[in-house]
Amino acid sequence: MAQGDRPRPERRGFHRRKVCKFCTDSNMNIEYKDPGTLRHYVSEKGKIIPRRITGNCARHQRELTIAIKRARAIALLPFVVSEN
Amino acid sequence: MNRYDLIFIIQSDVPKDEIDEIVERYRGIVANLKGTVVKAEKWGVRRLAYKIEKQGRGFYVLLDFVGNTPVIRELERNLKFDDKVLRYQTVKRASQVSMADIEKEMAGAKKEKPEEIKEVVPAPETAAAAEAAAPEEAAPSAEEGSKE
Repeated sequence: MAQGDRPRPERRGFHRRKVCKFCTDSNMNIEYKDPGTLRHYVSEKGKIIPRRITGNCARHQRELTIAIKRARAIALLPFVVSEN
Repeated sequence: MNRYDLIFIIQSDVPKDEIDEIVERYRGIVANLKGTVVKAEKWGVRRLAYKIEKQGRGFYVLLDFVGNTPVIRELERNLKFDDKVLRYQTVKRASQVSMADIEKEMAGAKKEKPEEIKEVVPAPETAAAAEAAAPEEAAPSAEEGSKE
């Protein structure tokens, strides 16, 4: 996890409303052939970032998951990024 | 008739004319089995996210076609035996497509780009570039989503 370079999230009891990027921007579509966009939704280890953090809606997160998995299968995205 | 995307990765050290030949051969298979190739794109040599058969790079080819299951069966059977093909993946994009729509789409595409096979390179080095930037970039950019 990248530490220090981001503001501390608010404590409990005060939650910021997260909006699904794909719902807001209709030009953005989820495409397994486009690793550039998908990269925003995987951690530096290559893991899929949960909805809780990205703020995506259920539907788009589901599509994203499938797209990421397809991209992994054809080596557009890594399965794991190992240390060193 | 369904519409499929077939992506396959050819070894990066294969000469260019041989790549053309391979792509033509697979286009031929689609045509033989009464399928229609909507478009064939060569993405060029890209860095692979992980090594496949000890290779770090590969030449990506996308074949977008309409056809029935025998087409896929035949394509995959051939791809499986092709030593120059590192990996392939077929994805069904739409089922029960009408040929009229496809023809319309192809006519539209032809108007823009007359040549049959386009040499499309959607940022070939993105993988490499993103790779370099990724470790720092990946997490913060995801955070951006949450800030909005």
